[in-house]
Amino acid sequence: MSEPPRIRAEEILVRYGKIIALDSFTASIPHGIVGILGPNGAGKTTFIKVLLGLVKPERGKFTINGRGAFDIRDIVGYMPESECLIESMNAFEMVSYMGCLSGMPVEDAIQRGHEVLDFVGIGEERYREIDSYSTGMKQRVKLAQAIVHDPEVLMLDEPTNGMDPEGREEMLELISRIGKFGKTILVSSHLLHEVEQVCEYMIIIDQGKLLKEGDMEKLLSPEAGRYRVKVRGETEAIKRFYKIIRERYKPVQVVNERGQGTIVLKGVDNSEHILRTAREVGVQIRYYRPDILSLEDVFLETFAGGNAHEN
Amino acid sequence: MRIDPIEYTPWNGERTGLILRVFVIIKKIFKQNIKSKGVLVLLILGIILAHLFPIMSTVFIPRERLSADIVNTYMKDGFFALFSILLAAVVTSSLISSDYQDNSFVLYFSRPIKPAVYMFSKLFGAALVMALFCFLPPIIYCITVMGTQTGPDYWSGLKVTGMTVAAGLLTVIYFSSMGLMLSSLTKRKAYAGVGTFIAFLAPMTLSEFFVNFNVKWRLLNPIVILHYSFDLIYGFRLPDYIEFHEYLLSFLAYLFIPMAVTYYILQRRAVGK
Repeated sequence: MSEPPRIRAEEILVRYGKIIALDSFTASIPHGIVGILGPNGAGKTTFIKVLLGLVKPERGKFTINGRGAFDIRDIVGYMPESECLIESMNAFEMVSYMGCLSGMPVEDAIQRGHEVLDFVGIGEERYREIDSYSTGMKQRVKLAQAIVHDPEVLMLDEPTNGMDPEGREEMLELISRIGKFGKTILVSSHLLHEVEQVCEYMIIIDQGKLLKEGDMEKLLSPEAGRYRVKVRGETEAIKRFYKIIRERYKPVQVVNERGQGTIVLKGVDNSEHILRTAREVGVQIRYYRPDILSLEDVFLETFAGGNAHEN
Repeated sequence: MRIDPIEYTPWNGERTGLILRVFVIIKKIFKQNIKSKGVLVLLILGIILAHLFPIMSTVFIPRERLSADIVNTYMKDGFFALFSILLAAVVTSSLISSDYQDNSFVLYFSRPIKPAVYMFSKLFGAALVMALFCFLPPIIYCITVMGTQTGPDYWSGLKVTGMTVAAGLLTVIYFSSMGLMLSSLTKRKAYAGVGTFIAFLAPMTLSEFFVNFNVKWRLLNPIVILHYSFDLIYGFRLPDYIEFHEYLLSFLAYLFIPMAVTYYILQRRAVGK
């Protein structure tokens, strides 16, 4: 992260009645495509709404490109998770109208409206009223209205919601292509593979707290001493193997299937010990390699709080 | 062979100021209403019943000059009040309620539009449509009377026309602000429309009932309050049984309470809590 962070949030506290939506939330979000991950109700949408000034925090402050909430609205594009399109208009009218509201002269908004609708893949359907659109088309129009004024910062709340697999891929492709133009794009999602596919940086939220953040490349890079071991044998023998191994290494993931077990270990400095233990307890090692992390592993480990999660 | 995708292109234009953005909202409301069959029917019917007959009669029976009492009487016509209420109910019903309904509300407030700007843009949009009935025809009436007058006194006619401009503007805002409030209270356009009609009709009925016991109950009637305002604009006095401060209180209540309530609701919704 060579550039200074584009978005800084410090000690943000948001409460809805007794429910704490953001609990002293602090994060520094860099330039690029940034994934905000977390289960439903984690506080992802609330965080975006705070940044937009749509929810007023009880405490804390934040800046976007060094500016406060209202000052940044011209340079921010927002694609909400929920339905938000003006159904009495057609897509073209709505997108150009939103462009005008974001400060574009009418002629520019008209031209740009056509451009962004072409970009998101809405063809002649742009002249149809929005209430006749499929969910996928509505998502595309929502993206179009968010980018019509060429914002520096784009906030996309569950952008692939309700889309079919092909539509999802296309939406992610669009996000990647916008990201190449030097934008900061916040993508809130609970779908890990989507975030893994397009994001360069990731923050994980749960119960209104920041659990983890970092460059995707670093988070997913193989860690020294982290090994994935798959063993086969009697259930009792596998249990014994796990028990002995746990005494020396820290397991981060344990999966048991019938007659086969997978254990991911951290801090492995001596393979000989593992191989010898397997021989002694009578299990067969079928796989033993440095572990390549997926976002799912990072996510599950973060939620397990450093303890092994067992399936 | 796959066609190359259309690439994202940046925009490097200059951003417009707030006034132009407000104008865009006003224009949208005006265009939307002027295309609505309900609004058109009410406008045409209302103009024929409330305005066309007095204007025609002026053409056939010219007056000596345009005096305040002629226009004051014209502005207090029953059809004028009735169609103003009906038009306000139809025009304002979807102003804010439709933004709640389709949740486009959030798109306005994620852009640099503050609740007050949003509110006044909506109000002026509705007022522009209302002006086609409440503002423009009275001015045309004044011009027609002056154009056909038999006497030489045009100066006082101009003064009365100026007063009519004020009375027309007041009428437009007076009816629109109540409708705006009702529209901000519900997601349903129909509820907002019926609510606006009832918001005028209910106090009128109550006032007419209780006025038999105490004449001050007239102050509850929004149409009577508007008529008192016309009296003051055209240089007449309030009835003896009404104190000025009592009138003022009622007038301000009918004009500003709806706006204050609307602003409060929008503020709550715009910042979430």
